[in-house]
Amino acid sequence: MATMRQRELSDFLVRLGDEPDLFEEYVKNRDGVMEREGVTPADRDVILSGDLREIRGRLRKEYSEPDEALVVMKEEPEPEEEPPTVMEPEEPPTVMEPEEPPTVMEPEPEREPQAE
Amino acid sequence: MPGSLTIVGTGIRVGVQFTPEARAALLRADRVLHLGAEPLMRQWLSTLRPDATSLHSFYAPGKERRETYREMVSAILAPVREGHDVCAAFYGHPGVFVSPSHEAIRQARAAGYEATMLPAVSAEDCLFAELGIDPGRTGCQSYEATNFLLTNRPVDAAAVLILWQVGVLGEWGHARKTDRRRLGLLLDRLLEIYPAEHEAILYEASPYPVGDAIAVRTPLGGLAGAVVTAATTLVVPPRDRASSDPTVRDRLRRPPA
Repeated sequence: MATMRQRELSDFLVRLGDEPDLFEEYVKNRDGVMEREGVTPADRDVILSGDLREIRGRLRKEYSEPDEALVVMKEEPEPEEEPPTVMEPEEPPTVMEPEEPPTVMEPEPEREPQAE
Repeated sequence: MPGSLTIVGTGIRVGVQFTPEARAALLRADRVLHLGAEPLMRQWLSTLRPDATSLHSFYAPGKERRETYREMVSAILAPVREGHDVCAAFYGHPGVFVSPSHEAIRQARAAGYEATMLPAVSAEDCLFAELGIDPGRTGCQSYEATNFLLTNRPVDAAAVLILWQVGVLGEWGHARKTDRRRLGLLLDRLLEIYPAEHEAILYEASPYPVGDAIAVRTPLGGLAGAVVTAATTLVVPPRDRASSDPTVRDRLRRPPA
């Protein structure tokens, strides 16, 4: 039954995300694990291809929710007379200041700018 | 005071980037709310906590996003005020490009409740790993694309430039499609700084435990015709090499007094 087959892909991916032992086994033996877990040959091919758009396309058929890729976290800017509150630092950044001289990140050797 | 709030992030790839401390917080809380980006993420969160409430239902076409966020914050804080230990889970890193999480923490603390945000794997973390970019090498500028355009930020062409959400430029609603005209505005801005043949990367991390990231390399001039979605991030490698100031270098080399 088509509906059963389609649910199996999302169920398998949820289990991969939720069961570290299964994921570890999958990384070592992708074909074997998918066959054992009942992933259909067509779904297996898509997963093995690594093609994100194809995987998303197959998953979207399984859900009745609207077709969307992500939740966009963005707000309309405040009116200009108010201070901006979105995506702007409230105070000068202090986190990125090194507390001691860097020992790992050697700067790149100086050279002339790339010719354009 | 009874009642607490813990904000966690799921990471980008469903399940496999969820940290042990975030999982523990989610499992021990008496109330759980979540905002997952994809249906698979929501399904996974519901598997972990079948009693959890999705915040996704607050989104609606045509609804002002600010109002949506206010409602999310209220929904998160209501059980805290009732004395419950609440965990709210957000996609990716809960403190990166997520305003309701920060606002919920702020309001909870202002009301005297214990409130904590736990770090998580962000989309930027995935980008650095999958594109092989080290922000410490040349420096890195990272902007939400609409904010970048609106505020006309100066660009350091010797550092990496990362622009998030280029596919939904100027969109403050619940956008699902890219407006090519707006993308052209961004391209015009970038071509003031970089030559048209300068290579850029269109990147999207996989949100699934499987699948490869999308990383399409294109000359900036070809951006207008590229496939761009709401999840696409634009990465512009440096045009120039930064040169060091010899005076400062000499001063740094002086032995300590």
